Amino acid sequence: MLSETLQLACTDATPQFFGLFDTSVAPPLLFYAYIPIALISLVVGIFIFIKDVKGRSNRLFFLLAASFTLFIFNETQLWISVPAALVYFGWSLSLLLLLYIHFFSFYFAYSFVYGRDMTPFVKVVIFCIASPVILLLPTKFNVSIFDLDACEGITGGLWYYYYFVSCLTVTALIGLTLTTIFHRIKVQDRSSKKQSVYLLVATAVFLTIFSASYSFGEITGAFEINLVGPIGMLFFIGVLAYLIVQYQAFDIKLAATQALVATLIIIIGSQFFFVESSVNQVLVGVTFTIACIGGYFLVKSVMREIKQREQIERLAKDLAKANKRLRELDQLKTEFVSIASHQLRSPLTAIRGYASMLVDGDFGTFPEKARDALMRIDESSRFMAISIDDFLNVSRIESGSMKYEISNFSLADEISRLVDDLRPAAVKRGLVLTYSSKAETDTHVSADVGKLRQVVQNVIDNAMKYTPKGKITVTVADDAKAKKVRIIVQDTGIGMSEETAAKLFGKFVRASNANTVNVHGTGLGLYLAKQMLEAMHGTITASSEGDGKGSTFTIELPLAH
Amino acid sequence: MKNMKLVSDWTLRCMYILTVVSIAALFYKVLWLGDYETFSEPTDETEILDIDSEM
Repeated sequence: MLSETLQLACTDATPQFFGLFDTSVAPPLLFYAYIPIALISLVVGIFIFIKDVKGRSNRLFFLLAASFTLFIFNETQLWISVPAALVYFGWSLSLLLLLYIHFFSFYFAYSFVYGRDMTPFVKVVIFCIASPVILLLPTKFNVSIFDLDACEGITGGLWYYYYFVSCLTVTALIGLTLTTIFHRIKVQDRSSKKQSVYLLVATAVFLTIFSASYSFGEITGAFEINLVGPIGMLFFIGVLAYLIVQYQAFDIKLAATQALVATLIIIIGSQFFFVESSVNQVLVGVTFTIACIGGYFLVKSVMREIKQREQIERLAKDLAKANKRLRELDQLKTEFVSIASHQLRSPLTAIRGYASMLVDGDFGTFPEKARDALMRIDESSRFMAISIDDFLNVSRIESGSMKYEISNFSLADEISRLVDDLRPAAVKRGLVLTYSSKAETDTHVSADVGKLRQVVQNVIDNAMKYTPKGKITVTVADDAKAKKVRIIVQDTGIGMSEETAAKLFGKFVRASNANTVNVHGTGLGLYLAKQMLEAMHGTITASSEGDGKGSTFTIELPLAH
Repeated sequence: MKNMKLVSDWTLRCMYILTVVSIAALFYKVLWLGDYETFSEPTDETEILDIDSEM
């Protein structure tokens, strides 16, 4: 039966191959443009599929490439077939293959962007849209009649339905692109978003070029226009290759390079069968050899790059793991310090209270020697309480639980009061502590009064500790232009080197010459001062002209609006 | 939930099955039975050739 139906032939062609095909009627572009593009897309599709057989996007891209290749071979068959039945069959099949190219393009783009399967609703909608084409495929709505002289099918109403479906697909892809750009859907990171947008735009451009060329070709009957269509696929594959190389999409950089090199060599090698003159054969031979050598080095360099990338990725992973472990240890340390400090604080409060009462004579009088010992206990417990408070504050800052009660107050008034409070202690040490205000405007700041007082007291205390003799000046000055106010604490003490000044605000850091003046301390006071000031949008800096030449500490805070 | 999964699994499967059936029907109708309409413009080649030779 089949051999009988194949006997009716198109009148404009003479069978040359197998009694079925005549290549002379086909445009040369068919062989030089269609077939290489189909081969490239199929090879890339196979390599992507092999890389991950179970990956949804990988499978869908392969199905898209396979549909496209089938479509190209069907088109080639249409151009070169002589039996009318074969041309009619191919003409009818074209519509189905076009539909599947649209379907797999959309499905692939959807899966790539969302990283999951389509929802049942979308699937049902697609089924409803595709059903008319599938069900009416063998009917006159597809190809109504066959023109034997022109060897062409006269298309039916179903083709107009296909033009509508192609517009619908492109519109859906544009919608998906806009949704991706405007953050409506969740993508893992910025590079995934970029990849998604590139892929969606490439798919939309491919389908637009492809459908437009076929629609115009079919409507006008100028089928040469159809030959432009596959160029859209070349653009699509180009963008895909860019995603593979730039973003490691599908993780097949090496495989894709091998696939492209193999395709290039096959295409150049196939020229041997077409060229006839010996000069051209030599030229093809030289090109073929260059392509082989270039391809070999290209694959080798990509392999080297991949190895380096893998090594860097492994190192980064190890580093991240070590960093995580360090953070955990740091957290454990902070918790330990916090618990230990709390446990020490309660008994210390009792020691301090009773020592103070004993010194004050609440339990009767003691001999002078015993009073001396009690005073030492009282003083040491006070130092210990300060140290424990410092530890607790550090653990609060590091765990982020330090609370700040921000209010508006006059800085000049507060510092003036603080200096008055500290003056007796300075006098006791034989020092002169003075306060002056150079502020020209109101010095109101927004900060935690208690914490700021603690910071400034710490700085003045330090100045007193490190100044064996001389004076300490505390100055409040404003900078109306910069909208800032400064507290400058200047002493005539032991000073410090430039190196020490640079690292003074670190944790557990003490000046290298601190021991020369026999000062007790944890090395946390200035660290805490810096952290607290930063939390209140302020800064603290230290400067000195050198050892023995005194120090200057400057605290800067923004003025309240 | 179970019904939704069933719909999700079978919608596209049905589409593929229908496609195969449709291609088989097309193959049977066109290539096996040769059941399709054709037309050929009634041209008189001899007449055209005569005109050509006269010119």
